[in-house]
Amino acid sequence: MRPSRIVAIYVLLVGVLFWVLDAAVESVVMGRGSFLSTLLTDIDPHDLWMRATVLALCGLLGGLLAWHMRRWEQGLKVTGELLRESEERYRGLYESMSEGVAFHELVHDGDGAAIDYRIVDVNPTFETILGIPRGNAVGRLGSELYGADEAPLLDVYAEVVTSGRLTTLETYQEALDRDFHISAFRTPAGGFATVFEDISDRRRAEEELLQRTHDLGKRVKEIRCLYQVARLSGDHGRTLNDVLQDIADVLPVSWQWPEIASAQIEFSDALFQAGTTEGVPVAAQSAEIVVRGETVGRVTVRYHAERAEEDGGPFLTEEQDLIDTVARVIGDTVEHQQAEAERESLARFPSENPSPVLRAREDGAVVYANAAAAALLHKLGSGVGRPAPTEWLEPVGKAMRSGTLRRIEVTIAHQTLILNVAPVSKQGYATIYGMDVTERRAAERALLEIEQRYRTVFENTGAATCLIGAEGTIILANEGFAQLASASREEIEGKLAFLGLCAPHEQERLAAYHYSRRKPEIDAPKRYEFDFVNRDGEVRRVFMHIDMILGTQTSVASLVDVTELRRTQTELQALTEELEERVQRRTTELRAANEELEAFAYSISHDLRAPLRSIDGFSKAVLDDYAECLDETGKSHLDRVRLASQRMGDLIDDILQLSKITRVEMRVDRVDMSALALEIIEELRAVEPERSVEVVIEADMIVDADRRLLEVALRNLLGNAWKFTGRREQARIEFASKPDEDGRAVYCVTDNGAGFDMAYADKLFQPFQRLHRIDEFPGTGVGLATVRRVIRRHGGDVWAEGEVGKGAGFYFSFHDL
Amino acid sequence: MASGVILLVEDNPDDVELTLRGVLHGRISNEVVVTRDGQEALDYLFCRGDWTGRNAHDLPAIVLLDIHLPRMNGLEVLRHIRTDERTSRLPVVMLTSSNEERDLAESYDLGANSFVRKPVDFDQFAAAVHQLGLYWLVINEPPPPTRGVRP
Repeated sequence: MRPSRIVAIYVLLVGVLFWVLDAAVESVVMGRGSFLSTLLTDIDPHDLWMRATVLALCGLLGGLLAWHMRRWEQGLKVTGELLRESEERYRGLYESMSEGVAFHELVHDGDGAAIDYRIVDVNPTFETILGIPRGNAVGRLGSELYGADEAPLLDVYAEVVTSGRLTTLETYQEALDRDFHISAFRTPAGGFATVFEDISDRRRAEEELLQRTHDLGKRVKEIRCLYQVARLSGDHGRTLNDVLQDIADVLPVSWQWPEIASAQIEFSDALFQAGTTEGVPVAAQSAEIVVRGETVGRVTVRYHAERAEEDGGPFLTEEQDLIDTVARVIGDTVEHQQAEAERESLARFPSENPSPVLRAREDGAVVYANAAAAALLHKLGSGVGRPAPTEWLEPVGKAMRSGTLRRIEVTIAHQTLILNVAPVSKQGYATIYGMDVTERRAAERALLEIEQRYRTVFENTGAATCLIGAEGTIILANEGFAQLASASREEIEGKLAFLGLCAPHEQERLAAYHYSRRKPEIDAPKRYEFDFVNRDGEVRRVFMHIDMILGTQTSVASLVDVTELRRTQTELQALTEELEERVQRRTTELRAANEELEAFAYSISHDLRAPLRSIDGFSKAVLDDYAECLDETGKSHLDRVRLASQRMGDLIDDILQLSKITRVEMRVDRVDMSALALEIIEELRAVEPERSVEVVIEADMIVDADRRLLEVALRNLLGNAWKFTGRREQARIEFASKPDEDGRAVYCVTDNGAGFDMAYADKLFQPFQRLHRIDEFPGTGVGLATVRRVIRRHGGDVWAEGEVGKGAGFYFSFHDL
Repeated sequence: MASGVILLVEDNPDDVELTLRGVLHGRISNEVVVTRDGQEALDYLFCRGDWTGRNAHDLPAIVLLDIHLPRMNGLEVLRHIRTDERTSRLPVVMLTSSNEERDLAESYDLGANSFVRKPVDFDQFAAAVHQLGLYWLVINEPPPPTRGVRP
């Protein structure tokens, strides 16, 4: 408050005090009432006048004094320098500035170079910002105040002092761990001042903002990615594979390093890839695609090159969330599509059902029919929108009224159907489900037929047949079995145990068979004989064939009474044994006879010829030595003796050969008859080279035969042909083959020789039978018999055809060899 | 020094006579020694019994051996001849009435040099004997004496 006003108020207060003192005197001294009444109301007019005058005078005096005081004060201002007023204004500004201000002077070394600066003054904000009290700061060197080797920013400040230019800069002061905005200017005193602001917070805020902006950029990428994925997966018009490929395409660009990223979606057996293919993946992150709690695939993003790590790996934390979300979206999409497909297929159920499905209202009108039902209704002259067939109306009505399922069976043109009428009473209609049972009914009929057939077979097996249950009771028996058991079927079926009809000594064995037959792992004999005892106690030998009926515990047994058969067999066995013994005996006898015959033949060949040699030899000796004693007749007789003995010798040789044919063991080989015949003819030509005989032999007649025996036969046949063509000028012998009516080869040796009379054809092959005189054609009559034996030993046959004077043909074959 | 004897082993006197006639007919001059059975033939060859004292090195030029002989048959004689070192190379011709296959086979198995069947016809027989003599005594080179037999 200005001093002039104080003086004026003071004088006015003196006036008021006078008023109060006068009132107090009136009350106390003069006793004129209470203080308050004397003060304000009950005032004596004289007193009031006086008091008012005093108060007015005091007011006037105060006002005068105040006016004078004011003039004085203004006089002070005029004289008390405007400068001070200005300084005060700046000082106030300096003191109250939000920036820190410090005045400095440079400290120079001896050469005039600035080496430090000293703080001259600082404002309160300096103290606040740097936390250094003014007293500590003023007068100290920058280097020591800020704790550095060199005072901070000395170069800058020295330059400011030198150039006088205002310099502003932002700097981070490590010693203070602060960011500052500093303006430095030269002071008129030759020092410099700094106005500074702590911008650490602002800078932090800026950096944070920058970071936020960056993050936001990424979020936008992720959101865009998610948006695209959501859009793609929401497009139900496309196939799942197309959608998955598009999602894969979106992924790499949504990641922090798109240029080195690749994405892959594995789903079921398919693989969808996008992004770079260069280089080898060095990092990957993935998420499983789960549909209804089951992993069905995987989404993977890979980086194909190294990048600085951030947020614990080359991938951002949010990118794991992103890939998880993408996998989840894919999973949801798949689930949705599957659900959609299922719903669609469910919706098609009735329409695709091959069985008739239709719906009828209570009044009988058909409101829905699937294809099968429509076809069925068409046959019955009905259809959608028309009444259902008449015979269906009653069950429909009943079903609707009762609210329960009704079933009817109808036959329409060879087709048998069961119709299940299911009422949906609330909605006033019934659904009819048709079922084609044509085949089932046919199968049932067939089964009945088969059953009938088996029953007939069972009755007419020709054997005693019965079915035996698991407990051994005879369930079923045919008439044959009843006869065998000597009981009626009523007495047997379901009453009699099978074992009760077996002889006591058989029961243990048959019981074991019975039980093991009913166990799958054990085999029981299926065919065997045993002693059967009928109800009359008579024992019969039976042969039984028994086996399980597949899939049941019942066996079926067929019994044949073999009592008579076995007795006959026993007798037969005895007879057979006797016969065998007899055969054995005969064989031994035969072998002995054969050996005897062989010895006989051997003896003949040796002993029978010796006397002949003597006869011939000594006849010759007589002829030689006693020729002069004999006349011509004598000589002729001796010649005949010699001829006879030689013929006898030939006969013995032939007989021996004949017997040998039957005795020798056969050695079958491939024999070239053509070559053999040629050899024989050559020999014959050598003996009679003067004869001219045309011989034609078919080539390559090859047979399986004993070579030695066949040679004997051919020698006889060809020898005969040679011999009997002896009187022909143009002799001709042919050996050839031709097929018979069965296609087998028949061989024949034909000649144009003397031939023979067919009347004697059957005698030709008997030993010692001759059709020519000895002086016509010499021979023993054994040759053809020998031929026949040879051919017969080969299982073949030989026969002859001929005509006297024309020639003969000898045919043979090896039919059965 | 071999004397070129023909040893005939034959029991049938008729056959002996006829053979000798055949030899005569064939103008064969070699001496014919006749033994009547197998045992006697071996006695001759190995200088035993009646033939003790005979020069054992003087082996016949040829043996004509019948098969059917009393005591020891021709096949046994042949076996003895072939098993004894002294006579193992001796030419032996089987001369017999039979041409039974088993006789033929056995003779050759035992090492007979020839098998000749005596024909009933004497002319043929004589021809056979003549050819035998010609072959074995003239054409054929006799075997060298076996080792240790040379005097």
